[in-house]
Amino acid sequence: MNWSLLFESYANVFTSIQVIGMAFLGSLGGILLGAVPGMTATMGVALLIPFSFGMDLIPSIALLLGIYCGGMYGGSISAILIHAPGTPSAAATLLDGYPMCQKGQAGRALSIAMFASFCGGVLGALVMTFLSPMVAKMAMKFTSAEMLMLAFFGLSVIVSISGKSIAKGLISAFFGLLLATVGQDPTYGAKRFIFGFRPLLSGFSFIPTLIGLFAIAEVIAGVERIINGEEKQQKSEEKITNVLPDFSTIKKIWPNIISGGLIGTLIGAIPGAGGDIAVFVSYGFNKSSSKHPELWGTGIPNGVAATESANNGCSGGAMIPLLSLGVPGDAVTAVLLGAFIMKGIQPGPMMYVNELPTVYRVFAALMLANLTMLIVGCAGVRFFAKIVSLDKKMLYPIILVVSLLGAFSINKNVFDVGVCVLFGVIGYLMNKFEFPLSPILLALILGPMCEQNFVRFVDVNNGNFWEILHRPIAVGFFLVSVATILFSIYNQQKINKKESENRKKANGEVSRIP
Amino acid sequence: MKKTFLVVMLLVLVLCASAAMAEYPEKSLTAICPWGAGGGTDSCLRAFCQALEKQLGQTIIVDNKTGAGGVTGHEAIADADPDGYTFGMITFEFVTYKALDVSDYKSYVNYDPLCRLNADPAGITVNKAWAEKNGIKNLADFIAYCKAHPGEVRMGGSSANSVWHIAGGYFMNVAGVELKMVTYPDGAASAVQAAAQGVDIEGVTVSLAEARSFIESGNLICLGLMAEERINNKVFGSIPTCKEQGINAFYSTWRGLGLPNGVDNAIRTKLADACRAAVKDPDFVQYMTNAGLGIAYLEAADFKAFLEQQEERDVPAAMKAAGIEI
Amino acid sequence: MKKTQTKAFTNLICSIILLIFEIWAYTETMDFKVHKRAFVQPATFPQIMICGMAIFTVILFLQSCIKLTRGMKPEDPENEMSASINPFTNRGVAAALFVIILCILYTLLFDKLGYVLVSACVSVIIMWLIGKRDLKVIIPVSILVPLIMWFIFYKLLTVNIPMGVFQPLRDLVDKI
Repeated sequence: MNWSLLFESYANVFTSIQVIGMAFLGSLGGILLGAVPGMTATMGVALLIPFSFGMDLIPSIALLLGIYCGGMYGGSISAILIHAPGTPSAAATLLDGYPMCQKGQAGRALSIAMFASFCGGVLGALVMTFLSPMVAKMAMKFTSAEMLMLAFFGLSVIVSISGKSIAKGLISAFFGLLLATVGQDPTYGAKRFIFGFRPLLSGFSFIPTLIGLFAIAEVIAGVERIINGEEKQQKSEEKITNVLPDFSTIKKIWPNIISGGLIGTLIGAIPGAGGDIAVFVSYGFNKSSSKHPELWGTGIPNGVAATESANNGCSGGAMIPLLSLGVPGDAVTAVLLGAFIMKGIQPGPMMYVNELPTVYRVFAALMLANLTMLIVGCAGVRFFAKIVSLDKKMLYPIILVVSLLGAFSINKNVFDVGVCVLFGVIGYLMNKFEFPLSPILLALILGPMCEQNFVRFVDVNNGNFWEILHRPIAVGFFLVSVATILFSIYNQQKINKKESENRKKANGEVSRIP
Repeated sequence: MKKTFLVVMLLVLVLCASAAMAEYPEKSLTAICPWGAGGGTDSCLRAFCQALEKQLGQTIIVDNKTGAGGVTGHEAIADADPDGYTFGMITFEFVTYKALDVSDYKSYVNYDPLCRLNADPAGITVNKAWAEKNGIKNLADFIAYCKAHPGEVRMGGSSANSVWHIAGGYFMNVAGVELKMVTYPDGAASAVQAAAQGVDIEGVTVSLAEARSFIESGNLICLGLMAEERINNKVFGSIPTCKEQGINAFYSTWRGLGLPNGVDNAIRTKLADACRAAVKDPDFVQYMTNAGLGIAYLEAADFKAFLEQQEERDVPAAMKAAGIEI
Repeated sequence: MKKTQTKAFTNLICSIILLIFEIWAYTETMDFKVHKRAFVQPATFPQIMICGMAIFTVILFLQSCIKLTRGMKPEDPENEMSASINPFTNRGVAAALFVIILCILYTLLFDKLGYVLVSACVSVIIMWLIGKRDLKVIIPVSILVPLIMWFIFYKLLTVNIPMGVFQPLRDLVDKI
């Protein structure tokens, strides 16, 4: 570690007006992009690359990293306020964020999400600065066997996000895994469940599915509630005096932030696994280790903190294999790789030898991007929190047309609008009959990863699956997953018992009243 | 009165007609990209469009119509209104659609090829530690080893039926060996990573740009490039071609521009001229060099002949060899 | 409350419907291509998933059967009234069904009429349906929101969105 060079690079980045300006611009754009369902940070980064042609490397990287970090936080805004995760990485935020909003704590949820995002991002940036070579070495070890078991580990979280009925949660999960197999199979390209619809060859697009399951389903249910007179108008009684969470809240959520940030960083560092997986793993882990797992999902700050710190931790994590191996960790870093190459710099092991000052400046730029995200976010909290106080009768149709446009814009394909509507109906019906939605989502993310790595592993070992016993990391993940499943089942039974006692008490009180 | 009216009408008509002829393009153009924003094809097209905008004096909107392995976007090009305001990028995958039976517009005859922009050769790149262990120093050693161990050497392409997967099949045909092709649906990057680690697969059949960081770090070694000539830069200059080593293997991915059939000839010529000039644009050339993409310009007629050869002969044979069952 | 109105009974019906779905999906997988050289067939993974789904469907079925035959304690959450999906008895469900039909029409007309027009229509209809009667607010909002969204997507993000009858608007914006 070359300290003087590190400090020099930080000083260099933090004093350049151009770099700071670009980071601000990026965070602002990223937050706005992330907040609109269907517009992702990947898209923003890709669209801005041509604009960064004329700029120097560090300002353009600061701009792109600003979008990346801002987009990660921005997704939580719509997840919290309108039950529509703006980006896949915000999908777990709505588990606790939306209930918080319904309790009239929208502003509080937003500020916690922002603070957790910032802390997670800083943690990621720190890990990246000091532990890059180590983490990169670990990430390199992940080939088919390890990826298969990582996917399995991710799936083991499903039990803890299933809600009261584990059977229903697992039905949802397997249904999601089945949906993930629609389209050409990843290994041989055989057509599965196509029924003559050619756009289905590449399966159900993930983001339209996500928007449908959450946003469209919520709009349909909202219309039903309004007609039946069950909808409560949320008044913004909440006075947002402080855009950052108060000290007592921070004291309560800091363990979640730290663990979330670290989980995010480590999962983000593995190429092929990103924020969408990390948030669920972090949520499951933090719920299981909590003293009051029964409160999770009812709108507690810890849930928002655990997920938001994880997805911003990812941005630091994903940069590690990008810089030290030249392997992008997710879609955004793949685009960033292009940006580096365009400037004539090839990320990879040689970059640490030939271009060390650049590497350190990128570290500093990531730190700066997190900082600007916090500042822009702080300024925006009051403004965004106002959205909930809009008339619901106006808000629902607006959400509908904005979401459907988001579904269209991913592939510029009307078929995707249809997919979005279809999943809106499925999500509406599943909500009615109390099948949980999040397992489907996790299954859609992990299903293809699970299948393709399983098939490839068996294929390269000529049909001998037990070869996996020679892969210690894979075996380790498997054992952890089994432990997670057993512990979550035990936990869920404890929760159900407590709830039924509460009901008994409530029933008893009712009957005592003459 | 009537006369003046007629004259005015005529004048207006003539003006309109001449305006339509002379002033193409009079509004913004659309470039359809069958692949996602931020990918290699997308950035190549965006860089080219910036150069083309300078020539045409109009903005060009890149429209990423993605899905179904590029089929959606390619079909959208053939379906577009042939008014000359919509063109698109056609890529290698297009010549596999006929064999895979996934598209209504199976053949190149449904398109009006405009020009080819880029071609990147595939390379036979293997794990260095594995090569040293088995005494493999050049392509001949590798082929000898493969002949001694048929079907045991595992090579990674990217996703199923993709250009690099088929590259393996092509090499098998040309060199007369049997490899085991392993697919990586996440793309070439994960295949390269696995090969560098040396578990699961021994090597990859992807382009050099994809494998660059690990070739530089010395984890991977490229034994032969499937091109006519070596790549002229300091990183790849030392890598030999297959031709130098006595194997006549020429295989590359390519990207070109296409129009829907039925575009007016004058407009078409104007567009083709603009493309010819844009390819030489210094910014575009700089971009392509930095991105490690080779410029391989072909005129419309040559491009059409090239497409015919690919679709009729080369690709179906290579797909068969790669074990792609249709 | 009758047993047929409880959540337990709804679960029973759900599990039967799911079982039928699983059998159908399994028969579909039989027709998938078989690869001679493959160790794991393309049909294998979906089949495992269908079996997994079926196992838990059967568990749900048995749980509901036991609860219905043996009777439930009053505090059992399954003993509550289940949600209605009958559009003829529940006005809310009827409205939801109407919104779903609107969404389907929206998809079908999206390409032909263009985003701005269909969105404005759908949003006016839904706002009217759920009781917003102030036309002076409804109409401007319904038109402005899609128009602004289109403008942001088209101009700032260069995303091309079908405009249908409003196509000249795009040309106009291009000229400016």
